[in-house]
Formats: sequence, C-alpha cells, structure tokens
Amino acid sequence: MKQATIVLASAGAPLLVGDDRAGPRPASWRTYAAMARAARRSVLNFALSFWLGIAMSVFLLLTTLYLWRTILAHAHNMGGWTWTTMRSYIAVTFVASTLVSMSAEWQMAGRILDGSVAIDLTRPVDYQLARLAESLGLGVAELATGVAISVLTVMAFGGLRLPPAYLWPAFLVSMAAVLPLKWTATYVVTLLCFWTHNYLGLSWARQAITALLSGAMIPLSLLPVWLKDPAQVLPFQGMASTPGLIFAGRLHGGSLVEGLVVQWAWVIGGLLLTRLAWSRASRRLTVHGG
Amino acid sequence: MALIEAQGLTKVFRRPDKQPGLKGAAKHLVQRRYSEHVAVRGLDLVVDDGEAVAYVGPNGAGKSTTIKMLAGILVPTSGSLQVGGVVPHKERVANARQIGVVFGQRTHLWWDLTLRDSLELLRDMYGLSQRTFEQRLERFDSVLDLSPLLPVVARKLSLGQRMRADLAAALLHAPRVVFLDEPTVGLDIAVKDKVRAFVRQLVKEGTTIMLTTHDLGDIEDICQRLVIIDNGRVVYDGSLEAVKDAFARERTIHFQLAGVVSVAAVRRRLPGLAVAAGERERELTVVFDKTASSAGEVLAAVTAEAEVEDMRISEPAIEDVIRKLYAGELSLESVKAGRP
Repeated sequence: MKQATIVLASAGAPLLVGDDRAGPRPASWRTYAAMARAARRSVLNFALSFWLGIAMSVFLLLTTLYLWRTILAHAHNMGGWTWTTMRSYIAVTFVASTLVSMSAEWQMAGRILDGSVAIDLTRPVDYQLARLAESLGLGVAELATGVAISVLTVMAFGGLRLPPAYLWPAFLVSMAAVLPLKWTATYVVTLLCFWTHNYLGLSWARQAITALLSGAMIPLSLLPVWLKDPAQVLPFQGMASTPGLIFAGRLHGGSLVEGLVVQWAWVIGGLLLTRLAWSRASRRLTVHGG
Repeated sequence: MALIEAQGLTKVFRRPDKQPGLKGAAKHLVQRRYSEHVAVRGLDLVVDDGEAVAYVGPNGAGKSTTIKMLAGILVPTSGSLQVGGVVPHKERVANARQIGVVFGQRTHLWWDLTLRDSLELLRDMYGLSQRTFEQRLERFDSVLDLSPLLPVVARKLSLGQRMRADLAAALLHAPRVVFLDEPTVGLDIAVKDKVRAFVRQLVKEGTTIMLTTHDLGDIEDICQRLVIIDNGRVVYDGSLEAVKDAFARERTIHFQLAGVVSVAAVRRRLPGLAVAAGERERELTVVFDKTASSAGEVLAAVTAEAEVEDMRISEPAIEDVIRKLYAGELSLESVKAGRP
C-alpha cells in the first residue's frame, strides 16, 4: 500500500486529464466503422477457427465441383444447366457461403451464452448496429479469402466464364445483399439463445434450412415444385441463388428485377424485424453471477 | 447532489422448474412451471456525487444484479431508478457514456485484439480526441504500468495484467460513476495494491465509486460508506467507522513475561476482564473493551504482578466483523446508521 501511495505522490498530476469528461460525443458512423475495422483486424490474431472454417469450406467446394462435373457429364439436359454455367454458379455460391462464417456466428451466440453480452451492453453503441458492423468488418476478410479460393479452384476445374458486362451491375447489387441477409438470419437465430441457452441445435437447423432453400446445395430450379415455389419468396434464395443465377447468366429481364426486389425487400424487412427481435430478447436477459 | 437514486428497486428472475431426468424435461415441455427468485427486493439507495460506496453482502445477496440494473444491462421488474438523471434501461446508450463498469470476472477487452487496438477502439467508441486519449493513457500507465501490455493480445494476458488493462479500458472516457464488481478477485497483493491505488486516486478526483467486493481490504482502503445487503434488501447503510466502533471495540493484549505469573492474581486486579494464560509458558492474554478500559490500566495491572518483557495489541479485523454480520451473529439494530 505504502509503495503504491509513493508512486502516486511522485506522479502528482490527476489521472483523468483531458477535456472530454463532461460528455463524449455520441456514437456516429465512425464508431461503427472503427468496430468493423477492429473485427477485420482481429482475423489476423484470430483463433484458428476462422482458417479452419475456410479450410473446411474448400473441401466442400471440391466435393460440389466433382459431383456436378460427374452428373453433368452424364445427364445432358439438367434443367438447362451445363458444366460451364454450373461452374459459374458454384463459384458465386461458394463466395456467398463464406460470408458470415461459422466463427462470426459462434462469436455472436457465444457472447450471449456465456454472459459477455453484459459487457456489450455497457458500451455506448447500438447493440444491433455494433454486431452488424463487426460482421461487415469480418465480411471484408471473408470476401477476400472466399473470392481468392473460389476463382483459383474453379479455374483449376476448367475455367470461369464471366457474365457479359451489362449483367455486372445487377450482379454486384445482388451480391451486396448477401451479407445483410445472411447476417439477419444468423443474428435472429443467435438471439434465440436467450431462450434456449444452447446454440448447437439452432445452428444446425439454420444451416440445413439455409443450405437447402438458398440454393447453395442444389440450384433451386432442380428442386420439386412444392419446395421451389415457396423458396422464390423466402429470404434464403437471396443468400446464394440470386447472385449465382445472375452470374451464370440464367436470370434475365423481369425475373432478374424480381429477384433483386425480393432480395432487397428482405434486407430492409429483415433489419426492421431484428430490431423487434432484439427488444424482445434483451428483456429476457438474465446474467447470473459475475 | 444525488447521482444515483433507486426507490423500491426490485428484480425478479423466473426460473423454470425442471424435474431431473428425461421425464422431467418432457414434463416441462408440456406443463411449464416456473418459480420466482427475487434477487433484489425493494431496494432504496441514494448515492451522492463523489461518494465511494462499498456495496457488500454474501454470495447471492443481489449485489451484481443491482450493479447490472444501474449499468442498464438488466431491466428492473419494478421500482424506479436513475443515474445522473438518466433511466439506465430506457436510455442505455446515454447511460453507458457516463458510467464505467469493471467486472472482475469478465473482460472489456476484445479477445483477439492487442490491448492498444482495444483501447483505440474504445477511444473511437466514446469519441475521445487523440490528445486526450494519449494523455490519459500516459497517466494510467504511470499507476497501472500498462506499457509492456499494449502490444499483447488480450487472450494472452494473465489475470493481473488483464485487470490492470480492464481498469484502463473502463476509465478511458472518464466516467462520472464507476461500478466495480469484485475488481480484485483472484489478484495477488502487488496487483491489488495497484488497483486500489488507482481507484483511490479516482475517488480523490471526484469520481463516484460503487464497489462490490468480498475483499474487505478493498473497502477499508477505498470507501467511506458501507452498504450491506442480504437477501435482496439493504440491512445496513452507514459509515465503516460506525460498524467498527460498534463491533470492533474489543482489544487483546498479548504479554510476554519474564517469570511465571498467577493468572488468578491478574484477574483479581482486572475484575470483569478476560484474562487467560497464553499458549506457551510465561505468556498471558487480556481481552478488554476499549471503551470501558484502557491499555494503560491493563498494562499497569500486569506489571504489578510480573515483569513484562514484550507486549502486542491486536484489534479485530473488519473482516471478522462483517463475517459475523453475514452470519447473523451481530445485530445491526444496535448500530446508529448515521451516514458519513
């Protein structure tokens, strides 16, 4: 004790120097940009899980490519799909699947399950926007690795045919909706942890539904009608199928516009829905002990 | 001026009643039963600007729940609450800007970022100027010795290092009020000293402190006011001194004597006092109430019977007093609960 006091006495000056005591500025977009940057930077120091997740997805990509190469070599009229268009489709849906990765999902869920959400709530930022900012920051890293892996692998399988220039704007608009859509679905499911106190089952269910209804596993046009038709209006197709079809040159005119409208309607609707979900979930918050 | 005001603050948790085993789980799915657990019941508390309050009580008394309501993390079941004119759970973000929270068992740092990155992120969150940020960091460094920790990723910090870093993280925005929830749990003496010195300095500079701890050294070192809660309600609110005066009046003198002495003879000279032979030969202990007798009287009585070679006076530690209060061995009604 005495020692510490001496240290202080010699230091003299007050601890809380500076002029921002009265009231620091409220959170602005800069705050969220900083959170996004920090999340991206954290990948460098990341737990192995990020890179393991990427490695796992490479195996899945290889499996998918081998599978479709074999199928399309034998069945020549698979709903209009050729090996070339399928490669384009797979290249895009793979990139889409790397966004909002398992590690991002488990980080969000884990903080609710272990009670660290209490810390998140002591920060002067909107909870939902903060999580979105983090996922966007991570998304930059995920996108970069996803595109690199996808292009290299698909090239090795016989090249990638790029869509004509006039489709690119539509493709980019569609691709931009993927992360918010996937993030919304993931975020809402992680909030369910407030009720379930367990995430494994929820995560599996979410992944299975997303994989099937987003067209990431099989193009939606190859699904039976009773599954295909509802899928056209659900948010899932916007997470992989829509940009994949545009890139493969299989979505034109009215159906292209419709695809983009459905995607962005769900982006906006989803973000509003999550605000409601959060206000419900936060009231469930019970953090026991320390 | 009252900075924190709670009236009838209550928090009730609902817990599912599950019977053990698969059968119990299945039954719970069909017929949901819950039991209510009152963590905080009708708490009234006023803390003035600049006060340093120790908020203590046994495990499960409702301390952490109170702190979490004050921090805007938990929504109270009933009652009213305001911190610096803000209702925490309604204006969580506004409240977050004026408070600092330190949880001994959780970290504010980003696990995968270096300490410097974490602190810079907090700078951006609270919108601090670079100049203020650097000045404060330098000042914190002088007490908490942060420099060697800045390039380290949070997950690699030891507990003591993490706690020092966490204190800096919680205080960077110079909050008006700081809630410390067991900040010294598991720390060694050297780090404890640093933490306490830091918090003492904050109090000196006018920061309001509410400290939850099981370490009574923290209380004696930092706080003037003691609030004890048990079973969700305040059972004592007053000065630390008052508790000490009421329950820590007992003094024990241990004598080392030159020759053998008759305990009975000393006892005759000191009627009403507890005189006993020590553990070893030629040792003697006398217990007295400092308000009824003086050490001088005792010394004089013993000197009359034998030559005193050495002596030592011990007083009960505040730890023992509070432990007895928790255990219900002491009645708080006898203490005049005067606020300091």
